[in-house]
Amino acid sequence: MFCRAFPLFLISALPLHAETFSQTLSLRSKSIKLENVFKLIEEKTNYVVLYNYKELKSFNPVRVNVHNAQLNRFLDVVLKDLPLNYTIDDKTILISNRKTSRSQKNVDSNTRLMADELLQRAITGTVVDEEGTPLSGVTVAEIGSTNATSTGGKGEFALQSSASQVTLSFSLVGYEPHRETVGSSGVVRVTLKASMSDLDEVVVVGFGTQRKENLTGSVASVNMSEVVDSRPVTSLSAGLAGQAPGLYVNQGSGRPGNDGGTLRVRGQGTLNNANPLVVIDGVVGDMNLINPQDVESISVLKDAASASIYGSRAANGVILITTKRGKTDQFRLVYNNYFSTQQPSNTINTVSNYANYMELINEGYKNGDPNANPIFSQDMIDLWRANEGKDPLKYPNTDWVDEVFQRKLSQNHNLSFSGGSEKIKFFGSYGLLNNPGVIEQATYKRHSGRVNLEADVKPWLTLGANVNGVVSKTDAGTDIIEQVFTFAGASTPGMVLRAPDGRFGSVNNPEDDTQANNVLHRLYGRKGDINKNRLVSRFFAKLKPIAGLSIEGSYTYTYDDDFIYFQPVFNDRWNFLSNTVATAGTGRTSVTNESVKTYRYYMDGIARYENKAVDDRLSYEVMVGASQEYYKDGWFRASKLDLIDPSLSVLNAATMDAAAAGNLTDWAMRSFFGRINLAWDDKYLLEANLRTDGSSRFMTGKSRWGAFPSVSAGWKVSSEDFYNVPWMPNFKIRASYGALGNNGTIDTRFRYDDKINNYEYLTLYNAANYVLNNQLFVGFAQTGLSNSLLTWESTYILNGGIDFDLFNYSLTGSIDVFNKVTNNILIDLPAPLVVGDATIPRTNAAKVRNAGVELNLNYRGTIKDDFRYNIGGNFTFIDNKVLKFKGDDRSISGANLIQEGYPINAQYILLTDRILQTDADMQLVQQMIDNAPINPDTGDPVNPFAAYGTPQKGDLLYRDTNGDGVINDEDRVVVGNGTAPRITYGINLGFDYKGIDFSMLLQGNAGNKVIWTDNYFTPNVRWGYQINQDIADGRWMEGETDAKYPRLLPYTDTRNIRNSDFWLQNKSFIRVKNIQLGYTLPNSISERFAVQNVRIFGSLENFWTFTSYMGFDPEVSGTQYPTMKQAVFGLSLTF
Amino acid sequence: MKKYAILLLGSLAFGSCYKLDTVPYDRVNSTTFWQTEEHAFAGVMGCYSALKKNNVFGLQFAYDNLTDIGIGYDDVGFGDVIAGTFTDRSAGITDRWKSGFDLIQRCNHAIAQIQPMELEEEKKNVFIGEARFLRALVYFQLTNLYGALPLYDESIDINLDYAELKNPRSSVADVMTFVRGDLQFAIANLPVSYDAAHTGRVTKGAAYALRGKVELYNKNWEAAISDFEEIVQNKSNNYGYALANDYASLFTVEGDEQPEMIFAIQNMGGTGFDYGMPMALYMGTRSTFGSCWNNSMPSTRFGDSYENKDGSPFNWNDHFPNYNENNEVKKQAMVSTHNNGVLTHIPDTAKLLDIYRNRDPRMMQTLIVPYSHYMGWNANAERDMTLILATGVNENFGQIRNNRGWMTYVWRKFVPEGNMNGALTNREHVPINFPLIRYADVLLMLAEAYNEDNKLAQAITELNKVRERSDMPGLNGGNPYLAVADKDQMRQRISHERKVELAGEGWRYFDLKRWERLEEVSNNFIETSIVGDNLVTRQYQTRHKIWPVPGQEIEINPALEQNNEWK
Repeated sequence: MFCRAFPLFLISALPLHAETFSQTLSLRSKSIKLENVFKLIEEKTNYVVLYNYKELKSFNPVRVNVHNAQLNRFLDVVLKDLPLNYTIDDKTILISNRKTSRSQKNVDSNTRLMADELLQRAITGTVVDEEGTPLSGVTVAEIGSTNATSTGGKGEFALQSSASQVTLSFSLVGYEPHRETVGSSGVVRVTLKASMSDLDEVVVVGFGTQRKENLTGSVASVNMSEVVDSRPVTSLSAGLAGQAPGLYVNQGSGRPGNDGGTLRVRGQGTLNNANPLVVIDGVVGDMNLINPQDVESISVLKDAASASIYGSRAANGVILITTKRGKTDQFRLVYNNYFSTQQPSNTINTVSNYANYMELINEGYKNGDPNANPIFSQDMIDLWRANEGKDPLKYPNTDWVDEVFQRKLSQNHNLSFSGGSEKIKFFGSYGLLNNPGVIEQATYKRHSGRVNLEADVKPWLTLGANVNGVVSKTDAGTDIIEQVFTFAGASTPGMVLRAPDGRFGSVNNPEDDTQANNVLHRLYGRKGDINKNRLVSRFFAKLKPIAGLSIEGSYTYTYDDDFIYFQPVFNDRWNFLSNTVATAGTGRTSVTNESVKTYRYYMDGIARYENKAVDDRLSYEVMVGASQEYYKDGWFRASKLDLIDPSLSVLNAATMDAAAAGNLTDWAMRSFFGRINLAWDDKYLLEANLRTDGSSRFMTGKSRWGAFPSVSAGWKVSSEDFYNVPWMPNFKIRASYGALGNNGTIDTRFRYDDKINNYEYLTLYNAANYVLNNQLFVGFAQTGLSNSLLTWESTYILNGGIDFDLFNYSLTGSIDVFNKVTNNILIDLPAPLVVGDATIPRTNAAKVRNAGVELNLNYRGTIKDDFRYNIGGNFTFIDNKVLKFKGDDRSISGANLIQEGYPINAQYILLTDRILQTDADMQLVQQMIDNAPINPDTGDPVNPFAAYGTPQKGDLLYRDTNGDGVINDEDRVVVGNGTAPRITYGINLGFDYKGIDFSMLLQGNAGNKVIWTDNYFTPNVRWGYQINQDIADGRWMEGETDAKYPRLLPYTDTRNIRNSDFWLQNKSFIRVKNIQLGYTLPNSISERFAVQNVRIFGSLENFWTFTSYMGFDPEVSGTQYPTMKQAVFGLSLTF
Repeated sequence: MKKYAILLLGSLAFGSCYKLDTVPYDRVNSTTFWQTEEHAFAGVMGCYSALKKNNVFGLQFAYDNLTDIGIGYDDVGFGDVIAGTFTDRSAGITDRWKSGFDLIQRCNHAIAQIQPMELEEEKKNVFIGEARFLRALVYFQLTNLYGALPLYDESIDINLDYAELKNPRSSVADVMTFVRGDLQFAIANLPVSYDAAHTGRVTKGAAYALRGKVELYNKNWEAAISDFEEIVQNKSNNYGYALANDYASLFTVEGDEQPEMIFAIQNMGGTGFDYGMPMALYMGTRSTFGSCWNNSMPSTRFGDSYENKDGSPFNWNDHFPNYNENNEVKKQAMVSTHNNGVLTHIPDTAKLLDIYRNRDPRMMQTLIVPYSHYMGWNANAERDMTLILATGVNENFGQIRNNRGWMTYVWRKFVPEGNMNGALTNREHVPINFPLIRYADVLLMLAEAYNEDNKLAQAITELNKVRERSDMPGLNGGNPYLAVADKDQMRQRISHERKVELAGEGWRYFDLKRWERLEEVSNNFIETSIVGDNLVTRQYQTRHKIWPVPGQEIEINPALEQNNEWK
């Protein structure tokens, strides 16, 4: 066995003038082992010392006293009294026995090679985990040889190698495999990362942590730093897509600064706000206002037992976010960046040939009213046709998609530093995001900074602070960007949006709708910006007065401050055909300043005691706590007319009438909670929780307070003595049941969501003023009704699950089944219209069940030691059903139905028999008329098509599903399983090989169908509006027998765009969310630049989507800012 | 010791509890409201304010589009009703039902809350009387649109019952009984007038006038006559109503409070004072303040129906041979050509304007006729505008443009000029009061009631008052064109007079319905432009004489039976 120990003394190494040996060495020791001397030499010089350990072992420690000696002189002194020789060759020092050395005096290169085989190099090192704790039992193997050892109790190891370039591999169950190239020093220090799939993993749970092994609830955890480090994730929620079973993320928009996803934990459990509670470092927060790169891990608490400690607000699941901390003895500086190009993932094809467009408009209107003069004269159509491809300024054929969307480079930079000693740990970061968006005037810039600090001030006291600041700025256009899609739909291809010289266009054709919109003109109709500032500061203290007891308290203050400034900009719109101003850009100048402020105060106190009893067979932990929270949200806005100069931007720069408005709202909550964890023999696990909450949103008394208990148990079968299944070393069974509450958690802000009503139980009066004698008189009216009975909605979740590891821990997985029933659902009931325009308060009215299965599997493998790969997937199936809802009553909102026995928002629609195309088809219509039932009041046959109009050729024939001989709303039937997906899944795969890493994430869902008809997708034409090219191509015309779409009609005629299965679209999709290729430079290269780790990567985000959905994006509802396809390139440096 | 100090501090911090009883900052709540007379008054003001909602009376003018007076497009212009494609799901049908009941429920709530208040009985009954008048007004309007209605009065508590308001429809007769009850109470308790500061509130006279109208619509001629005579002849009080001297002045900010206004929605504008109605936005043009839309336009047949100044019927052929028969002649007479704002050919505008000036003066007071002027608002300043009939006209050339590209008249009545000297800052909030009942209307209704009650001479007297105000020769005044011999001829005269007098006020739709003449003016009628181009075909079906109950409402309340025609 060859080994070497650490040097006992420091040797000063100074650069020296000597050419032969550039360094001098000093050493003073009364007794030092030879191998330690050699080790020192290696450390202080660039030389490798080769020697035969067996021989060396026989020598006693030596006494050395050398000061500033050159290397050869130093060796002379050290070896003076020993039977050893040395030779220095290139950068190697060969130590040999004097007996053999003589014969080697004149060695040639061949014999030296022989010596190399005999003489080996010692490699030593230590292996620690991320906390800096030494790891024992780590297998250390030299790649390309049979050399191997394992670490001892202090994580140390030693290995002999005859190769001068050595790469070691480190592996330990529960940790990510690691490999390291040994530098010239022969000493390595390796940190192994805990692998996320393993049971030794510590999972963050509500108000504490838990070893995953001992979890009894259903918790999914995501190692977020892996996800976001190299993907263009600008918002954390969007980055979670496809990462965890039971968590469904829908990215409904790619709008800069607003590209967050909508999250659903185990489906839409309520008809109300179904957003999960997001807790960041212990405090409720907004996931999209946190720098994704700061996040260490995310836990998703899915069942009642896990979430109930958050009681009242956990009904939709809880997402716990932990930001990065510093680590003991690990000082790191990390810089990473990425650059990405973006383009809409899909666009809509509208008719861009203006001559065709005019004919189509004429055709549609003629179908509606054959008497009316055509809107566009044949002269104009001919004129445009004749000028096709000529002067595009005079005769444009504009495709708005080409004009509006632009390609821009978005960039992100992130710098973080972390480290710590035994007493203090710190993490700091700065991030910069600049996303110009794909539409002009939509730039979003975000600076974020964070400092996390924790200090053990006394052995019994830890104090800490997390401070996080975000400053963002968006163009004022961002505020109206959604309108782009409304306005672009209300536009025509006969308009130049912007001439090359920058002038904005109006319609060139005098017969066209002069009020048709020009989106670019709209976007530039306003200037200004939206500045958002946010500060989250949390201070905490942990007290450990006696062993096992800890008391923690924290106070958090969150402050959001938005300042919005904008002013109108007036631009002319031109008719480029006549080269005259069509609409003069004039108006009164004005300036608007708006301030939106939100304050959130949160404090909690927790006491925790853990100990063992009954011969240490029973371990228990008891936790009790209380928290309270106050939230205040307000805004005010002032505007003033007539700026003294349009370049000025504050109120004092305006001279005339001013207007102001503002409002405030608030809510508060107080909670008490407790938990007991019991473990017997570390095999039988039991956990019980109780939480009570009081909310200001409910009337004082019994409706204000809600109590939410839960219990869960687990059995680690594989820990039993009788258990003997070698291929499944780990097997656990879990079960839980409990209650959760919901008071209608609202996570948007008042100013941006006027539906927020914190006082629904109070009867309130709004200003409703009136005028008498040209004077204003105060008036009051209830514009919102109240419901004094409003109370908690409660969710009961029964969960069963197993966790397992197979085949020597290479395959890990879990399966959960659950039944989630939500009672007293707070629902916006559609009230009778006779109630009037007042908003309807929510009612505790319905009961919904979500039953489902979740599956999570991950496999890791290695081929030939250095090709490592993994494949994993998660899958969720949810069956949603309204169990109870006002008897047989139903709520119908458009095509969406809520009724007992059906999924939420099942589509309640007509069925389409066919598009009437031939005379034979028309016979069906005539038959219905001939066989029409008789109206008993009049004795005449009724008109079976009275409800929607008698269909003609080219119209849809709806089915008389109830067989009453009449086609009307009574023929609607329930179709599909609602607008939320039944199946969601994600698949990850990846490999790494010699510094190259590859990963791919696929995401998809299935089982949701929704009606889509809007201005971009309708067979109805409207003067001044776009026409869909696909519909135009497939429309019915006289003579057609295989039309795909009905005939064109004017927009006022709705007979063919009734909610029917004809317009029902399947929103199932599978999407290659991310493909990524990275390369990590070998340490030998990166070390030259004093960098520990260099990784370059490229990735494709959202690049391929497979779906039959015809709109922008199956994740986007209707037509609005689409999601982005991005091509990304980036760099990551660790110092 | 230190440990305990920190523990103590921690528990102290927790001792400061956040209050769970939060109340809103911008609204008053029921525990503090409905205490004082001011509260009762404010509650009633809240009822009045709902009158201005687009779907209550805010778009009242647009009903003319459903008659021979006007044409319109889009929902706000009743485009779908004109085209006959509207259904029980149409937004206009649904929203008018909903907003109408909104005002009814506001009144119900105010009445229920004021009744138990400790106020002077007389004052209390004035407040309740106002609310009951408004409730009756809306019930009456909705009945005329939808027929039978579910009845809801102050006995419901909307905050408790909102989900359960599922009454079946009461018959039209029962609704009318309910309306009469409200109006009886209003008549009994409302004052003849208020102090100047409160001008605009409902008066006793207004209640009489409305009740007379209700009786007229229900063909109770004597009852109608009695109510109208009460205020016309100042029987038990001196009501002080009179015709204004100048018809046009009634529809201006300066003249909208003359004694002719029996009950009008009180409007006001100015920066930050959005208390008007959207006449500019939907009756104006791109030349009107804020660049507006002509969703409502006067029809060509309406323009042609104005008599000559001497009371004789107007006929274009008297001025241009073959005008009526030949569209080319119309174009010759009417259409200009222009190139980038420069008129290259103008018809004989002097002749045209002479023709228009020789008409009932109300024509040019109500309509902007071709080649007449209008003070518009363009490039942030007042600008004189002319209605030019040509392709490609543009306000930037000082030309009024119909944004449909149609060659029609456009409205002058109710449409603001310039920025009304600063009174107009928002095109949706025109500060001109909008009359719901004015004295001229009452005179014409009285004339109608007399005529139906076989009192032709009295009918003619009342109608002639209205004609006289606009310098039009009276009926049976010697001019052969104006001779009226019987009830039927008088009906034609009344119809004509109501049409030209009340144009733009939205009542003709209701008149035509009760006279059962809607089909006659609508059925397959092709509306044309001034120069004879076909614009839109009216699609009339029998069921259009009554609107359907919104399908959405029947879905929630199956007890509501759909109108027979719409089943």
